[in-house]
Amino acid sequence: MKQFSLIIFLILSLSIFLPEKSESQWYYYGRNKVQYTDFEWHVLKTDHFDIYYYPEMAELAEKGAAFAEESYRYLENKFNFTINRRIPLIFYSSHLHFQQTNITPYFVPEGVGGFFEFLKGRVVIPSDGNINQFRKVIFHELVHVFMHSKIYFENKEHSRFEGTYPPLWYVEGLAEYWSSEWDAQAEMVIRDAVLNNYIVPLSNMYQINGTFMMYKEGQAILTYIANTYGEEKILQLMEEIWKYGKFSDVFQEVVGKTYEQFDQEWLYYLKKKYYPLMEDNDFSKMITYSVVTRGYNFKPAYYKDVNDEEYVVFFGNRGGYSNIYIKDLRPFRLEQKEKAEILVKGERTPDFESLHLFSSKIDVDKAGNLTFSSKSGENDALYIYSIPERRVLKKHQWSQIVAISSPSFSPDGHKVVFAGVDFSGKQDLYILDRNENYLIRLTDDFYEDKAPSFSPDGRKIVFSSDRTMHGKDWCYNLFIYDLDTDLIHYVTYGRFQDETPVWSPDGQYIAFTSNRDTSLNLWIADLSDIQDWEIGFYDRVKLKQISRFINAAFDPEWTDDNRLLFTVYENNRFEIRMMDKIKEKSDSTQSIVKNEKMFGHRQWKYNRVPGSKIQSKLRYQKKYDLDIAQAQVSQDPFWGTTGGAVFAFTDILGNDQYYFMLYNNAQSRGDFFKSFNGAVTKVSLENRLNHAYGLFRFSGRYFNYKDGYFYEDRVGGFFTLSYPFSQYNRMEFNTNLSYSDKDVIGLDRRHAIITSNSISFVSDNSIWWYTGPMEGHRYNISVGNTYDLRWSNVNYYTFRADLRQYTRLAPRLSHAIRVLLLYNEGKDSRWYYLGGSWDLRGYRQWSIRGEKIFFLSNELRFPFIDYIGIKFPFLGLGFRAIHGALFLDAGNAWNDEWNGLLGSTGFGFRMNFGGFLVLRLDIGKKTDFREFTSDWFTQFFFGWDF
Amino acid sequence: MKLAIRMNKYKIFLLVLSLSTGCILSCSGLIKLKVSEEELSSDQEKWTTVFSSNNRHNSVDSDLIPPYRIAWRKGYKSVITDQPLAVADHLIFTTRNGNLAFLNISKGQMLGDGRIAPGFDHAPVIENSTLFYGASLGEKTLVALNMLNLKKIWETKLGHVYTSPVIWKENIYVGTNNNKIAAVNKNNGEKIWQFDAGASPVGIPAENEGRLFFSDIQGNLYCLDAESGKEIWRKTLETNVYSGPVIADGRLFIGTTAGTFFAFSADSGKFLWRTQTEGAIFGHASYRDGVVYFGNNAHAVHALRAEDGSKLWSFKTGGIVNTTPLAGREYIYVLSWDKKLYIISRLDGEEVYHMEFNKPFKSSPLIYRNKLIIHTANDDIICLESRE
Repeated sequence: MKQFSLIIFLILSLSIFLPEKSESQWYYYGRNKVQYTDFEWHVLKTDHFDIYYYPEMAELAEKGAAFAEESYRYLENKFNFTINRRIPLIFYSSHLHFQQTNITPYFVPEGVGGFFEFLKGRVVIPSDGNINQFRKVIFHELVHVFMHSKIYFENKEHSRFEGTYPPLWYVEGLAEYWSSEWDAQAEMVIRDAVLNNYIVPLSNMYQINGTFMMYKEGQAILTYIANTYGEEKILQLMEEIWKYGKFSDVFQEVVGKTYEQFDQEWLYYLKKKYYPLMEDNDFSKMITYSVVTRGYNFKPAYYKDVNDEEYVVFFGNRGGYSNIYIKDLRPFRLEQKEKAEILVKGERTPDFESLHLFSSKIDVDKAGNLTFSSKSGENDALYIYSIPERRVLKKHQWSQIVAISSPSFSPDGHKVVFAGVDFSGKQDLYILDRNENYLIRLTDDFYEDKAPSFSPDGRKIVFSSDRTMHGKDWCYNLFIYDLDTDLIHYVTYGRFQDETPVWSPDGQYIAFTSNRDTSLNLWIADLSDIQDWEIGFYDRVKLKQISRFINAAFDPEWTDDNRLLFTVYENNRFEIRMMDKIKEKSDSTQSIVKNEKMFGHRQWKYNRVPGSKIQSKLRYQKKYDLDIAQAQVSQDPFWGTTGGAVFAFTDILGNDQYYFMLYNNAQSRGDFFKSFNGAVTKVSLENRLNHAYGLFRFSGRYFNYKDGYFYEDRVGGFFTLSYPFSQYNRMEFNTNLSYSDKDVIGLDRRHAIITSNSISFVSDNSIWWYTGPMEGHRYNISVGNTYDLRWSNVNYYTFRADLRQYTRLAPRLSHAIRVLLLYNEGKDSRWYYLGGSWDLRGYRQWSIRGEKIFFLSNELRFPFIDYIGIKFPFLGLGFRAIHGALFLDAGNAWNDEWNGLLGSTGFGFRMNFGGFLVLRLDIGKKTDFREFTSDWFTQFFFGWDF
Repeated sequence: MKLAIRMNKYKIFLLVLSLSTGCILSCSGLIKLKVSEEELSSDQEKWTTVFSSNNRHNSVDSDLIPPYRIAWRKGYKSVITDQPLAVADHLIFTTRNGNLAFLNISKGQMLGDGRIAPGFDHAPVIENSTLFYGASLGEKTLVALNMLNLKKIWETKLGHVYTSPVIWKENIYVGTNNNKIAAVNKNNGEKIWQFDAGASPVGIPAENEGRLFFSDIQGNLYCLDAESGKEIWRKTLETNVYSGPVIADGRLFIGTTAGTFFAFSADSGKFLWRTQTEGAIFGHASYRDGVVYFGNNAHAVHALRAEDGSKLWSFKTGGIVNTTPLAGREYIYVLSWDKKLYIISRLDGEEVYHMEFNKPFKSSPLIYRNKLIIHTANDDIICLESRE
């Protein structure tokens, strides 16, 4: 199931979260990327790589080094190309560590398996307990490195300095195509898309840009091209990229077809391939019961309360946040309104930062206790939650276990077995004894042991693992851990992915999913002939396929002896469904499969990079390279010409960042030297407590509404601290000291040694849709003072509260409210401004001014037009997600006396353009809350909703 | 302050001057070769077709005894396609970005260069004073150019030319991206015949006794009658083939990207032997005295006995070798992407000498008039001389 995480995240991110808002802790709002762990970085140098790792994961790093060198040799052959620089590879032993990386400023979602960044050519890859996945991601990312470099040289050697770059479907499709086989996951996605008529043709690939669907379609297209037109076309698409400015022209040159012509034959091929499956297979919705259909739902757990009322507990994402829901178990054949209660709200608080809904199962014991795992701070925590009492009973967290997945109760509820990833990157099985409160580690190796489940007598644990002989081929079989003997026995054997096993209440069967018929379906391991387990008993297991779904099924869960709940991927959705009469289905199955005979048991393992290939192992020492250098000259008819440049230097891990800014705004030759402006800043993100400091000198002519035009020369320094309590909350402290020489033109001249200090609390757990936040909150509360140390020319204090709350009224209807209070009091205090599209709509920008401001804004946000298309004879234009808003704004600014309330109300339209720009049009009437103006105002603006 | 400004103005003047001079130099364009037609045709050591002859042995009957010193170095961006040509003390080459350049070998002086096509995949061919080149993009892609007056003699509309041209008697032969092998009259550019291949012909075709040997990218090998264009035999190898055939002693040698090196009877196409290597073979082989030499992407250079494919020796470099080894009397000259020039004993594969440079090698070396000429990709043309 771990592999599905990427799919699901990307599907969700396209359909719900778009645009994903990622901010770091140095902005007005934004969530925090918390550096919980103090990594002691080392560098392992091999023939072609500098590998950054920490000592706890040394063995994994050396295996990764071997994978990287293996991949390098493979890709040199594939690309007919070599990278002429050492490639920095940064490894993390778990995804939770990976999420702390400073190499990208953006948040790393759970579905991201690694990334290649362009500035320094760094490749950043986590392991997450799965050595095959680790190897695959190394191959995948190095395909990007080779492709990027090869295309750069193809363009350069042909003097095409502007260069053509392939679209993302090719970039990611190639990385998938050359790093992995066509597997059950790829089959599931493409098959479902074809049979449910949502496969996106190549000519419209932009519609799914960046999604997992695009990855798999890209892989499918390249596989088809290689099989139909020849493998060489894949390489030719890179080697001939210099010929044309558009990749579609390169495609036509190489493949000999336009995108549209290619679509015709490719889509026809897919239909021919998949339609015949309808003959012997079914859509699950046609033959099973619906249980949960709204949103995206996973990992059902069965619960029967003291009144014998049956419930299903499950992970769900119905509008952005992931939660744990409970719903009565009343299956239905057709769609009906379903109501589910939220038990645990995820992704809003530090306790439940991430529920791992794609990779971790949940379980409920007979007493109604729910166990699940969630990221909480540095590591995952294991929770015990009482469903009857609706509260968390206990939170378990261990410093040596970084990630926790799929906890499951023993029959008496006293023990919990789960899979955990330790600091070294190994995923093994653990048992928590709840009574004694101690932890037992059952396995300790590089095999990935996952999804454990107790037998009804509590003496055995069934789990899925790649410790099978075919594990190196990324296969999983089922195993039993005998708690009496501490021996591990095969339950299934073969080159399959047998996953998520769960014992039936009577102990006769183990239900699991397997890709034995190319896509994941439900299977039963009939253990009725086995009284006790001994080595070799696996050949007595009778395997029976009980579902023949066209789509994929996973996460089976027994309700009682004769029903199974499960998740199904169908029509690009994840639903929970139920199948009954399992015993009858099992007994009536004609084709009983036996495990194939095993001849001995060979351990498999991946070797570390040989010692002869290790050039050195050194402690990491920071070296700074240039990241960006940007020069700019601007001309303003009033302010004159300004020219300058910005440089940024960072170390390879992105922990320390230096910024240099220099510009000159002289208007005459005589002003040249005194018009140099500059700043030097150092930002340190290495530790949890982030800090930044720097020096600056700013001089030039300025304007504000209080002073008018003035010249100011300001020299000083600043220091900032930011401490994140969690992903959502942080405290900030800022101080700066500067000398200011301010000359208000034609009036007075003021000297001051100004110190300004402030402390802020920032909280943000909002989720966004196309035009702005839709749910959650964003708070920024600050207090500060500013005073002149020497002449007392400036002396005022400041209070600022900017509170924004977003409430979901319906799945696509949201109410947003913003309360803003800005309060300055004292000598030479600054003014604040209102007016314009950012705040008080209908009034001229910054036309309302004062030392104090109160402002309240209400907005009702809703979708207006989901899609509008215009087809010209020569061009087609399509616009998505045009949203509407009703608003009511009120507020005013004042100095000494409150001036009365001003306001406006009206409606507006917003449209996201390209994922980064929101066009906003507001129409309304102004009011002083006694009467409305007779005329309507219209304001057009670029920017996100507040 | 005024002085400083005057200085600035002076510097600006110098900057403008140097920029304009640089522009003049770099925009000099092609110049006519100051040699006679007789001189061009009488040169005994001339290297007018890539890899020495239509048999593509890439063999030279001399050696440059190491150690070496750099006689001259000339900056030249892009990558020389296949190998430079040389005649009458002139180095003549095309580059991937569509440039044609003339360079005086003795002085290391660039005589001129200019962009004559959008791009080249392979080297041109020279006959007397005419240069025939095929462009990998554009409309009139096969051109005959008089090197003495720089006038186009003719140009012909074909597909994008993916092979080096081969001249045999009155015709010139090329392979194009529309899966054709075309025969064109070398005197007037008229198309004589056209052959449909299974895929795009690539690499450097060979010719021997009136028979043409082409390979296409999907691994088909063709033997055609050069006169009529009729197929004599055809073989399908495993995909893919990027290199071209070498013809020697009645045998044809060729490698594939699956790392297999094949030998066939040039006469009948009969399979003779195959040898598996550990890396993709993208480069052309060379041949001398019953031995074939080739590099692969597993960083190795192999020497195989032409008779039975048995391995004589292997030599490991530090980078992929998709250039063609140059076979001298005693030595093999190998350029690798590890930025090194290797001189290897032809007899036992032992390294005799190596030199390291700044950039990888993507084109093959040439020995001409006791000078070894190499080009580091996107960087320098370097002329080496023996120190002795």
